[in-house]
Amino acid sequence: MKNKLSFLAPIIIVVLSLTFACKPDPKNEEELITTLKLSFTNGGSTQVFEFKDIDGIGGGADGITDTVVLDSNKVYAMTVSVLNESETPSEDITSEIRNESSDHQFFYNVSSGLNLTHTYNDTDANGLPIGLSNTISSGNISNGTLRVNLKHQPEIKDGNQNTGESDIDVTFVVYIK
Amino acid sequence: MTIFATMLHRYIYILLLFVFADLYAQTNEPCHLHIEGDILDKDNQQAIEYATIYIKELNKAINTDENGFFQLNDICAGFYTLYISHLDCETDTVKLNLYKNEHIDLFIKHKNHELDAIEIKEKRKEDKLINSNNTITQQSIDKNGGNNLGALLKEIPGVNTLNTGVGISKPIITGMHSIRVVTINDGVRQEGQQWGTEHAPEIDINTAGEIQVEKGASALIYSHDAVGGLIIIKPKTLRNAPGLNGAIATNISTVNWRGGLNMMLEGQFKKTPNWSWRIQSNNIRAGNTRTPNYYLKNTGFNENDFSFFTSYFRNKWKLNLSYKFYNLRLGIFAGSHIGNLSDLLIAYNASEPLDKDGFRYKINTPRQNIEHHTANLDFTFVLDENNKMNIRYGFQFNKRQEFDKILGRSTKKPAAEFYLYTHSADIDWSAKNKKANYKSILGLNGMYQNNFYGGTYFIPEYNMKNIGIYSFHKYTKNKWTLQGALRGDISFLQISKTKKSDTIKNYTWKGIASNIAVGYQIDYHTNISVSLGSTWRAPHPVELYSDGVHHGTASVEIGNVNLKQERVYFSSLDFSYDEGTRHKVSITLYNKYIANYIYLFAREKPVLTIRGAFPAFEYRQTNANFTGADIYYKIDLSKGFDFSQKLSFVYAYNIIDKNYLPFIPPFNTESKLSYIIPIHKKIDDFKISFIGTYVSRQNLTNRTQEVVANPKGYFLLGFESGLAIHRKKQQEPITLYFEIQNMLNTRYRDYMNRWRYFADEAGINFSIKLKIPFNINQKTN
Repeated sequence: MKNKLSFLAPIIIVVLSLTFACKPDPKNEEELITTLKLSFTNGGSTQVFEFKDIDGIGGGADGITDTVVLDSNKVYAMTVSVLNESETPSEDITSEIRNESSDHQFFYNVSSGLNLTHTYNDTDANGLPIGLSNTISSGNISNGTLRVNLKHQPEIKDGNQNTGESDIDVTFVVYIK
Repeated sequence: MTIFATMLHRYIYILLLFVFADLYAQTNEPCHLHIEGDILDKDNQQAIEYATIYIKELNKAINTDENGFFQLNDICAGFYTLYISHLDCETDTVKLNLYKNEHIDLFIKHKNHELDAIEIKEKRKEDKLINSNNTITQQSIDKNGGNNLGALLKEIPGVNTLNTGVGISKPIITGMHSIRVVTINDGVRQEGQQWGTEHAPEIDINTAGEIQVEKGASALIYSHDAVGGLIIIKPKTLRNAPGLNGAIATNISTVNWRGGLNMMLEGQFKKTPNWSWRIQSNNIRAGNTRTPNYYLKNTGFNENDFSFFTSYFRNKWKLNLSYKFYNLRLGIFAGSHIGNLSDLLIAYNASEPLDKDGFRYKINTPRQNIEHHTANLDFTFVLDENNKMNIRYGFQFNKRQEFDKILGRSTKKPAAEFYLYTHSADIDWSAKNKKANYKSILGLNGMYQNNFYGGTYFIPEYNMKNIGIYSFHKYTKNKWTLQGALRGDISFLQISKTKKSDTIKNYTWKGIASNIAVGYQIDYHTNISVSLGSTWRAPHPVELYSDGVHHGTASVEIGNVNLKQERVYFSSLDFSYDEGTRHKVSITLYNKYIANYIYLFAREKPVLTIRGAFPAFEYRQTNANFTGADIYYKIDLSKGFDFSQKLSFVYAYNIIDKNYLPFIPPFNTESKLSYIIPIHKKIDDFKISFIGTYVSRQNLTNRTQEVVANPKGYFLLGFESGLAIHRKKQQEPITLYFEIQNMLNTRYRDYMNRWRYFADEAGINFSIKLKIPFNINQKTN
């Protein structure tokens, strides 16, 4: 009788080891993008405007968007940096976008009525714009919005804003004084 | 063009109805046919004497002689159901299309222990009660080889599915799904991450021998929180005579070039006649799905399952042990992987997905990897002729990893992962009186569960302990059946880690559930039953603490820590009429009132994040009412034709907000016309069917709660055929099925598919399923 049941022994061992052996050690670290920084440089002086949402996506507090204030009829060199400031020290995600530049593009949408023009200052390996480095020219006094939209477009990046996934999509209110 | 197509569909539909009516009118059959045959033991091919053959339609029974032979004369042509039974054997059912004199050889399985005898006797009794049309048989399971559980369950009137593309489908019962539908697989309550609308039950349907859907409150033996319904999956019974047999089944579908291979081997050795076993494997590979106009990029999947069942029995007891492994690697449709609300609207307004691809099997990121292990140890002990006891332990481990290309994380590490450990222990005692008209079950269920997560937060880490005690009673007298159940549960939930804090929060839930049902048998064919009950459900940790973006719907879902228990009041009326020769009708009407019904409410203001604006949904409670009807009608027309119609309808209302609830299946109906073609004595069941399915637009909807307008109604035409080839000395026939789905290659979108925002449903699909059972004969000494 006991002999006949002995075939069960290895199975029971397997079950028990499954039960107790493989408790996981998952890491709850969350890779967040918390901050988008736009740095406008003209003649040695730099102004920084940012969007910040420390707790990331979710039901917590909404992000805070700076109002962009620029001088009229000026040419600015504008660079973008993307950070994770939920950790200390904060993590710079900009270089990652640069490394995967043929999958990413920043699109800049200027609302009608705002006298502002945008031109790309950088290109990826395929000659398509990235948008980390830009030139912004302000016109006459006006106000409106500037939408900054980073699209993740693996294998499909072709300059079309409508494809892919939005990694960043922030709209700034802009005043040209 | 589309208007024309719709009209054409309607026209075909009406035309088909007329054809049936006409066929029905012509019935003139000779009544001088005879059936004769031999009843043989399935395992040793010996004649069985004194077996009873009962023909349901004629209400007539005969016995075999000492050579196992039987004969019946002067029978009209038509369809008959034969029940073959013998004291020491399992009861077998044979469906027969009689149009000429028939000789049939029938094999029945000898059973050699008391326990099975009791179980089968009970089953025969059970057949005649309350809720008849809710079981899926082995034949349907074979026919659906390669499909998932949701697709298979759709055969039952009133079961709909909630789909995510083609690969994932979850059953919806009485308008409810996910946490509100409980699945019992091989006696163990299936515990995965069921809360997710795109998380399908991790079950290989090929291991099942029978699947039952319990829509009523009579599910209290298993659990109190199956508010929508309960799915009971029973594995195929193991061999109970020495020998070795197996089956190889394969399936191919053209819409995604799915190929599947299922292998099974089972046996019982002569030297150890009390020990039976079965091993089974299932492998499926599928590529991108084709819609009428384009392929859906990155929608392939790989499924690999393995299972092992074994049982050891003596005269008085039986020990079952099983292990099941399920693994699914699944691509997530590239076009559904959108960022924020404006991405969703761009995708919705595009006539075709902007991110296109051809056919390929390769799965890229975003993708999911799901593993499920179940081990089950089950011990049944016969105390005496009228009492038996069952003790069970189940262990489950569910691992779900979601890989995603997000900034700041490599694609090799999952963006989110969940680990769920569940231990369950059950004990029950079944008793009946001598006359077997009173039966009762007393039982205890216990469960301990642990959840961990990694990567992005969506649900908390928690542990949960549940204890439930129940008692079930059934009493039959003459034409009346009275059934009742009472159940009490207590559940301790400890939340150990949420997005915002690591402080421990404790919840205790408790409640009583009860139900009572009365059945009356009007005549041999007609049954009617009324069921009333009340049960409850505790909020799930996901409803309390979820916080994050739900991919694919571009929405933020926010938990509510103040949720209270749901309380359900249930009533239903079942009517069934099964005359056998001509008509078969089953009607279920139900009403469920749910106080404190938990649902996702769309906030007016979207959440503003660095990734853009997301519509925000928060868990809220209301009082809801679900009213519905599930109807099935089948008529056997003459000359091998039969026609069936099923329809289901749910009306789900949010009483407090005075509006409709979202994600409720719209009105749907299905007609099926079948014809059995007589070819050869050895080939039976050569059956061809045309199936017309109509699903209306969901008009019972709260527009402010929907991101985009609901898709239009649609009509689909399908075809299926199947045959079974009987061979000498082989008990089980070779079966072959050929099917065409969406024959007209109709372009449509379905309200119950979460990808309806981005893509069309699958186009025309041809599929073939072949199953070859085999026997390995052991030499007799």
